[in-house]
Amino acid sequence: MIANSALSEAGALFVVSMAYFSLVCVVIRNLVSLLQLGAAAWVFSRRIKPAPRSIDLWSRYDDLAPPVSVIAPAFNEELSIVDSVMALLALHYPEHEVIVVNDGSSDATLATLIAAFALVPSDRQQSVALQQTRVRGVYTSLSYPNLLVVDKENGRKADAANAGIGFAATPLVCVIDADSIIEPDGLLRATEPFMTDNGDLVAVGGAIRVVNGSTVRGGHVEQVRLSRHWLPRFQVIEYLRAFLAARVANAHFGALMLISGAFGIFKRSVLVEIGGYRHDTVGEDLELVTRIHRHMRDSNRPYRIEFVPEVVCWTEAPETLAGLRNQRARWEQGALETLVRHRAMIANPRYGRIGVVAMPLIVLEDVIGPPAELLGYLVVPVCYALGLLSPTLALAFLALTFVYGTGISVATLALEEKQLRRTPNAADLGRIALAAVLENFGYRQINLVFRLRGMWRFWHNDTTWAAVPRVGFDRGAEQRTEWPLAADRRSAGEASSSLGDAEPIDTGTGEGAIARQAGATR
Amino acid sequence: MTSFASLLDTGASFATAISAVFALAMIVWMAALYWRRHNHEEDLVIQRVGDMAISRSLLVALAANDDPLEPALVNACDGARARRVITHLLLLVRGNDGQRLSDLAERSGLLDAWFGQLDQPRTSQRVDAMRMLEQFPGPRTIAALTGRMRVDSDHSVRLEAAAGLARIGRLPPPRTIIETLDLTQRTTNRLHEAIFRAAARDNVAELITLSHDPGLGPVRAQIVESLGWSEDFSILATLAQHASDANWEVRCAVLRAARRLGHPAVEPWATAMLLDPVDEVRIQAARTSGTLGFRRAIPILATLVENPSWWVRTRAAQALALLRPLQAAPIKATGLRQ
Repeated sequence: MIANSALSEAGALFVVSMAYFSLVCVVIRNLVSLLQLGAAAWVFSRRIKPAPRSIDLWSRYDDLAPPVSVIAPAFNEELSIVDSVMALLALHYPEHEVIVVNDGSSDATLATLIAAFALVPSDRQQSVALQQTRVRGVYTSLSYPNLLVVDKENGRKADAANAGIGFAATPLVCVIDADSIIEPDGLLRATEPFMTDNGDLVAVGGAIRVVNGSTVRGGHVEQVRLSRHWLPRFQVIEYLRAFLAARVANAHFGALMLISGAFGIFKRSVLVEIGGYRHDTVGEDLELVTRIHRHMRDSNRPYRIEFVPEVVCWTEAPETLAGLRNQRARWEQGALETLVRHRAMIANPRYGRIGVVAMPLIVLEDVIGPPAELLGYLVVPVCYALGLLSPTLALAFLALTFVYGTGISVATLALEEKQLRRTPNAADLGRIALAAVLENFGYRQINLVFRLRGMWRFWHNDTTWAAVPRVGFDRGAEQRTEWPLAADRRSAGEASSSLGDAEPIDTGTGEGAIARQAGATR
Repeated sequence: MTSFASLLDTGASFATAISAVFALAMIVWMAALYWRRHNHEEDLVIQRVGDMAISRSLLVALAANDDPLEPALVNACDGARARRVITHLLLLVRGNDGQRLSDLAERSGLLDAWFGQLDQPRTSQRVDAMRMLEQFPGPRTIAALTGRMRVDSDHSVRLEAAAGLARIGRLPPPRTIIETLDLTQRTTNRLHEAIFRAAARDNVAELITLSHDPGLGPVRAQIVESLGWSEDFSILATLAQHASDANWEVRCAVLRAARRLGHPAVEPWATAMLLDPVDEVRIQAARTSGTLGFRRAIPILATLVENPSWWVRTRAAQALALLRPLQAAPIKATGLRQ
């Protein structure tokens, strides 16, 4: 009897400890998100206002902009590749080259490119081979001298980007996803920090928005609109938190750890020094920036990584829970892979604020935070029901998660409206504000479960590519295609590979780990 | 134990209250922003009509050669609207009309708010004001930007003022630029280069003198390069002198300037620089030879495709492709780094 009582007491103590642990984690994460939001607001209030019009940017920077190679990996994009490349060639930039890397597409991507751009074989060679697969051919365009097409065997996006970096001959490279839609003046805005750089700036990230619901024509966002579905609307809020709060603040403190795979500008020489993207991770963008930090600090060189909060790029967010699950699980898995690979940096003062602040924050957000919060949702009500936790504490947990989360989301949206005003109209602003409230009641919790799935994949060393089904953009009827196809074929590939077919490996050209720091805003 | 529990409860109550107040405050703020946007959208149609009326009156006055421009509508409307309309029209009109619009804005006091902002303590506000003012390049703007460039305590503001003056073609002489921006002591960037280029056309003689001043340090290369933007072939002799400069950055700058100038007289020394011991200089020489069509450089370029430097090999091969397109360089020439 006494033993039973002791056991139940120990059990009760354990459950209560779990509840307190969860509460403490939630409090710390909330404080971090509040600090980031405050820092972002401070940065916005003190920054030099960006040029409102493209023409102002152009007149200011046409003589300053350093040459850039835009590297676009493509896998099975035959229906959309021409539009995408035309849009890249039409970017407002004084001197840029577009390097399209056909990553062993099994459809007619290469043939389409050859026909559309009058491509002819070229003997242009790489300065350095960072890719692990064989380059089958290089083509230049008779009509567009600044277009280079590289045809290579199938690898993943990292491998394709590495091949492109090897061919780039400009000081800067801009690595994008094939389905990224770059704002016409996005390149000019994103390279702005390089124009007054004294040599220590190595990379710049830019803000990315959700394109779902908008009209896309000829590779450009013709009309910005909000999706009719709630899932993309919730992701709009997540992207705002990630890009307008977390990354602006982290960049301000010199602790930016992630430049999205959908759009990032890097000093080419630094990428070559560190060997380009790693092939053996699903979170290659986070890993790359972490490795840049590590490399520069190991070699005691001054460096900066900056962030431009203006919208430079649009990307499609998953519209189904299955797609969202795969995406978030992959982000989580990528974060864990990076943390394990660079564990020597965690809490290591040798790496300065990266080691002492930024890496532990990733641990909090990606390792401890999700299970702790989920645990809280389970344990706190149980503790309250059993009388182990006072109603005040139980209420505080709910307030700190649901109510405070709502406050942070709404505040980020308000910051966006005050500073950038990229929401199309008042009605859409209202809808996003509603999404900012609703996302804390269900969506947020589902995301935590998806991240646990990513942890599970990581522990089981599951390296299969988790597809993110797409629905394509809202195009004019005459241009309606199933673009982007890659994801659809990815699904097919996944199914067939499970049957033993030797399908090519996907480039992962969908979204990069764009809003991994979305979690960091909480 | 009881006091700890009550402390926890107090903390929890505090956290709950803070969360609720924070969320409520943010929702109220958001509602206010929503209301503002909603009203703004409703006003937009009326605002466009008003803007068009002002634009029309200004264009009529410009066409009638009214001097000075005194459209009543501009004086009647609020400053922000008038500034918006004039800024838009400035993009559309050319020549003297732009100057007249700019004078009107200055005379009507539309720019006073920005002139006042130049004295704000925050750097970003001063820079924002300068960027707005440079769209109205009247005498008062030029004086204000020149003053900022000389006296502002923040180097970035002085640099921005110089860039603004460069954009409106009113830069002070190069020596003044060097002194006010403290360029002999500071690391320079692409913006500094652009400023010197903008000053080149009006200050050739001074730039030539400065290009021989060894006390300038790294800026001297930028000075030499800017000579290429002078559009004055009399500087060719100066470039030829600097082609044998001890500083390799100056030699590179000479070649960039020569490329920009595009005069065939540079061929003898530009071709000779293909044999320079420094890779960077050979790269520039190869690019110059290819761009300017120096066929006499072909034999040296053909040897450079075997150079140990990948960049030298690549640029030499590219130059050869330009000079003899039917005879491509061997593929191994531009292969991976050796």
